[in-house]
Amino acid sequence: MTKKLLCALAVVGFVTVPTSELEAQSLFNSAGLGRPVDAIDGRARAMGSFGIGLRGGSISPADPAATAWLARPSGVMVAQPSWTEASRDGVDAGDFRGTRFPLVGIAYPVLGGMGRVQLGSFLDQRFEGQRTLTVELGGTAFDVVDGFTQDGGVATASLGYSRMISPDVAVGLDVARYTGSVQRRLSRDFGDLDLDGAEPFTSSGSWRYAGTSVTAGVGADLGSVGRAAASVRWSSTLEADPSSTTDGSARSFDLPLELRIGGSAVLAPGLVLAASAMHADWSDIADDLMVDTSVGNASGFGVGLELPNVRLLGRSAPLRFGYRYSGLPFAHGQGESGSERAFTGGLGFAFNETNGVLLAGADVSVERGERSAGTLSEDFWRVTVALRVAGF
Amino acid sequence: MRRLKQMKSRQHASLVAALSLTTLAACSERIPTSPENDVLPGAPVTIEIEVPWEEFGSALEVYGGYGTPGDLGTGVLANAFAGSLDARTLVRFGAYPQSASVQDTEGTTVTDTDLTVVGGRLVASIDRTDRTNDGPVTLTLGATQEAWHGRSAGWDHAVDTLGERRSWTEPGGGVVTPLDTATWDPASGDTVSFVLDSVEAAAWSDASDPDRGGRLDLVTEGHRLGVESMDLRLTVRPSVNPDTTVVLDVPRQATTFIYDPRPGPPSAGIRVGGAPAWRSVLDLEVPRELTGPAELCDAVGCPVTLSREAVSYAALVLRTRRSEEAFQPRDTVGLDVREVLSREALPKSPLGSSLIGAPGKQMPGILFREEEGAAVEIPITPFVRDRVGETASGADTGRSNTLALLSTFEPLSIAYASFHGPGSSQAPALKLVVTVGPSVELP
Repeated sequence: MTKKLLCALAVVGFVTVPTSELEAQSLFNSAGLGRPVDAIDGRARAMGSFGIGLRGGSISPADPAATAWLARPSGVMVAQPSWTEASRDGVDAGDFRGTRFPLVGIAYPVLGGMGRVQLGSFLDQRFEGQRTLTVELGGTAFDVVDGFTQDGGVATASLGYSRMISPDVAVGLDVARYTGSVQRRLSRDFGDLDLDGAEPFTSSGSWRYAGTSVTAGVGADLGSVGRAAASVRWSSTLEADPSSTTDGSARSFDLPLELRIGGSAVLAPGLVLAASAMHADWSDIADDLMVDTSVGNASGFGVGLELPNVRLLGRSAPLRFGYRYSGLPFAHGQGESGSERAFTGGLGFAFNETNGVLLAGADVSVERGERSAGTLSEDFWRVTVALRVAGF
Repeated sequence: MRRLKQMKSRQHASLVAALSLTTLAACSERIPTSPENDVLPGAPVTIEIEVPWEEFGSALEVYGGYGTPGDLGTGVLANAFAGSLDARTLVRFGAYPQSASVQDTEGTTVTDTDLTVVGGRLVASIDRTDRTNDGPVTLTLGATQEAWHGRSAGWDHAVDTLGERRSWTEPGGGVVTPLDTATWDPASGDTVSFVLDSVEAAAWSDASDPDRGGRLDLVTEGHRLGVESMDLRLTVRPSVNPDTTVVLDVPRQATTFIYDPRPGPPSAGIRVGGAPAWRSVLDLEVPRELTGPAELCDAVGCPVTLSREAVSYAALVLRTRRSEEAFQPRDTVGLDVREVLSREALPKSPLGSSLIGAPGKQMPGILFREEEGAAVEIPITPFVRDRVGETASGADTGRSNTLALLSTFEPLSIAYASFHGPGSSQAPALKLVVTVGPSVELP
């Protein structure tokens, strides 16, 4: 019964989650092209990982080879609520919250390996802004408020294939299309002016994103003690095409080559150490940006521990801890470099496990972290819930 | 074993519910608001432009004759006001009540159909906001002696309909039979009463008599005052209890006022209001391009092609003019502006919906007396935005560029509002608040 319920939930999730919702939240969404959001699951989040080199099989755009270790058709859906408090020069700059769905994926055996379809987040661009200006009408100065809303982001839709090329080595390849759109809308409100029937001024534009990426990965089991994996993602330029009603111009943005490595090792029975790192140099995109933005590396590392033998309610419930550091590619102004740091923790829970094979389960992570660049700082709580099903 | 399984299922369900709740907890979005001004697109420029009449307006015409004083349902009294205006109010009441619920001598409430009219009072309520007198004035009530038509009666004609036109035997309502005279003092209240004896009251009881009616005149010279209502209160004696009297209200059938002289069309300028009402009609050509001011050109470069979105506010700026003294408004004037759907069909063209909405542009009457020359803005933003949008898109929708200025209700009052027209230093102008900015681009 429980299995059927979970399957139903997963199917509903697969069907109803639109690509445009694959986003996350931060004030750094307003810098440059937005804030990168990793499409990784709750287990990797809990261990501070960049989603690569973890033991076992998984559906992860960051680690294409990992799907080859899945024994059965599998699916994953990840939800990610977050709560953020921002400050500027130590002064409260507001709080915000929201839920995104960074990863939805399904894998199925095909051609002696595992084929997969994934929808993943890439850049979160949603934010609002406001400024108060003075305009002079008829010799009198009035305050008017400009409001700005940017809604949307960049996501990926990918097809992939993985297979074992030896008992211990697997390779994988993903071909993805960048998708998504962004709407930018500036409005000026004349509400405080004594003008009957004045209409707010609005100017807006919307762009649809397009581009291609190819991710190749390899993973190898190092005997019974661990796993090592690496992946590289190449991206074409990201094209932003304006809609027919948009006065703004078409744009192209260079996307970086993204390298990831990771590994995990069994330190002792019931204790696994995982470490991973990534590097993505976004500096080439600086020439494509028209606003004053600091562009840097989105490089980082993460380490974590997993206690796989912990049990809860009579079921396997691995406990996980970790720490993760990553650079933010965009920050406001020049000369600022941003970063995100978070302590992570969480657990997995098997709803249905048969002969050591997980048929339905959930991985939950909780992160307490900070993002900062210059005088802008954010403290956040981020929860990641991944529902996994297999054997359907 | 089965209970254990059920317990585990419940635990699993609870866990799923908890995970779902955690996810849903942040589902009510609160979007981050960036404190960084530099992430917003370039600031638009907002400027105010006043376009002179010669560059936007043409074909101003004034039309009269909309509605009749009888449509108002109120009255006006004047006697040589402003040296010339005479106005009288006519009223006619409907059928008298044929029964009344009264207590008989036993104290039981019964319906009595045998009522004897023993007298009555005609009570006139004076409009305190529409009067020129500060002290007492004398009013007189008379009974009309010839048939008159409630909607078409005027100073010279008792009936003036399509099929019949008949003059009064004497201009101003004919010869009347005097009924009563009373004094109204603004300090004493809003009403003035006229006493009718049993014969006078009974004379109006025949609902089929077209001659019946009352005429209220102002005896005191040099004033004008509005009459909000006239009510007839009959005093009757019931047959079931002859020792008592009952007061009954009689429904009003028609109220109108007749006045002389009627104002002629203005030689120049804009006129709105009056009874029958005046409308002013003008054509409006919205500028397509702006070549100034310098502030605008510096920001976005000139010429600037106007777009619908760029017009934040548009208004006709009219300057008030002193109306003919006899017809100067004492009360607030409500002005409306509507699209004329077919200029060719004027003066009977249908009009579009109000561009201002209720209650219209409210202007104190003093602007058309002592404070002439005041600027009054009549907002027409939707009209201008639509025309600019059509121009920008190149679509010829065949929509009218003609506007009508009129009172919020027609007729609204005997008084009318006047504005300076083209050719004067205070000619109408088109005020535009324009907001133009660079197009929104990606970062």
